[in-house]
This record gives sequence, structure tokens and C-alpha cells, in this order.
Amino acid sequence: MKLENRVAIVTGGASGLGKSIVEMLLDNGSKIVVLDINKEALDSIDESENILKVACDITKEDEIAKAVEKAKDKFSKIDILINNAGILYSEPLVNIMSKEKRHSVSMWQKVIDINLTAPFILGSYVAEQMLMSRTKGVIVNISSISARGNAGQSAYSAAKAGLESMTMVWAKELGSFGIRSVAVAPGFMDTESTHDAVTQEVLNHVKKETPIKRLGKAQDIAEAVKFAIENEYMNGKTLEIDGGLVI
Amino acid sequence: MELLNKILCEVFRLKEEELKDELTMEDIGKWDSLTHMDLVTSIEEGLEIQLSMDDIVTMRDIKTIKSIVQEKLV
Repeated sequence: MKLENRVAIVTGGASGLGKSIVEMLLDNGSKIVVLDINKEALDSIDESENILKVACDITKEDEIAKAVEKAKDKFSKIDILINNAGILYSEPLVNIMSKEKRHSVSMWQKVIDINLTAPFILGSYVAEQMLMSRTKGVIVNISSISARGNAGQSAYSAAKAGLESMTMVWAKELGSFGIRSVAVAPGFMDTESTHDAVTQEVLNHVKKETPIKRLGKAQDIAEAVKFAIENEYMNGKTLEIDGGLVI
Repeated sequence: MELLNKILCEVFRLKEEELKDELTMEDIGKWDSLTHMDLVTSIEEGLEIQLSMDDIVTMRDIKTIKSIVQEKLV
């Protein structure tokens, strides 16, 4: 699929990886609907006739429904969905430092809600629009190297593994209608959210263990997303962009 | 219509003599929403026609499917 004049919804598109993906899509002539919960970050994006900024809490189905309607009202169609928004969270299953000594159930639920349930709801709304209008579109789910099981990340790893599994299901269910579904799994990225969630010691260890000997750049992921959208035979698979790191 | 009958039998796993116009979604055990998607793509590819979303949601019995397809083939 050529990117020019395509309409893409990007969740979490106002900062970090999402912002790089938005910039890549704009550079290639797409029209973007940026969904983000952070209004300040949304305000920092330059106004343009090719951008619609929507403040949206993607854990709330009614807000997703309204955002998809706004996208349709502004651009008449939706060709691409990038499920990028997510939170990083690390906690061991048995947490001897906490009062309960076990992984917090409320944090488990929060991570699953944002990283797995929200992409599921968005995928269902956008795929419905694509099917109803017989649009041949693409859904790109941003997974993680942690989908393979990263120690200390029960919730995050489970959510990302679920997201990759959902990608395969959607590829099979929607593929015959020309709607593709692809996942992109970044390794450890040099982004604010990584630095907030992972200690410098761990990041130094990761760099040492990564054959490329550096953290990934947001642009590396944006390029992978571009490939996933443009390559019309890619479906139901995960592009692993991790510098060769094995966890 | 011969090709359509063949497609319907294949998708719903019916023998030719079992395919009746009066059969509905409720009568055919295999006709769930996923099979319905298969049905749509099989008809579109097999008969080289494009069904609208209205057509797709209206196709709930064999008679209606045949009528919609016939109109497209005229």
C-alpha cells in the first residue's frame, strides 16, 4: 500500500515512538488522526490540514467510538490503524519488597487494559469501518521483544504476546477482505519511556548483550512500520526490530 | 447458478441434494459469522462480483443469496 493520501489512526502518537511514526507517515503524504491521552503533548504537534488531534483515553470504549467517528467525519475513511499506545511496567511475580509480596493485581489489570484490551477494541472499531466501506487496509500492532517472556514483566510480556496472537487471528479473519494485520516488535529503545521504566544499569547490560551494541532509535521502528504498511504480502507476522538481542 | 450452488455446498459442507432455497442461517449449523465471511469472499472470487455491505448483511438465507447474486450477474 502506498502511503500517499492514506488515512492513518496512530494511538499514542503525540510522543516517543508514536510521534516518530506520525512524522514518517506525514513525510510520506498520509493524513493522520493522532490519538493521545496527553493533551499537552497533543498541543505540541503543529496544526495542519492533514492532522486531526483527538484527546482519547483508549481504555474507554465510548471514547474510542467517538474518536473513530471523528476520524471518519474529517477524512471520510480509515486505511491504517497503528496500535502504538502502551505502558511499560516491571514487577516480579513474587515481590518480596512489597507489602503483599506478590505482583500487584491492579497493575496487572492496568497493563492488560492499556496494552491488550485497548488495541482489541480499536481493532474491532476500525476493522468494522474498513469492512463496511470495503476498504483494503492495514492494522499494525506495536508489540515488544518482551512478548517472548521477559523476566520481571509478567503483565507486559503477556499483553504483548496476546497482541501478537491477536495479530495472527485478525490476519486470518480479515485477510480475504484485503485487510492485513502485522506486528512490529521493538527491542530496547532509546526513548523516554524506556529510561523511565528501566534502570541505567539494566540498559547498560542490554547494550552489552545486543549484537548491534546500542539501543534502538524511534526512527528504526518508524521504518519498520513503513515496510509493514507498504509490503502487501506481509500478513499475520511480527517484524522483530531488536538489534539481534535474544532475551 | 450452477457455480453458485457449488460454492454454497462447499462453504456450508452440504451435499447437492441438501441445498434448498428455504434454508436459513438458523437451519445450517456451520453458518456462523466466520463462515459468512468465507461465503462472501468465495462468492466474490468465484463469480467475480463485488457484494456491498448491505448485500452481505442481508444474505441470511439461500433464496436471498441467489437473488442478490443473480441481480449482480445480469
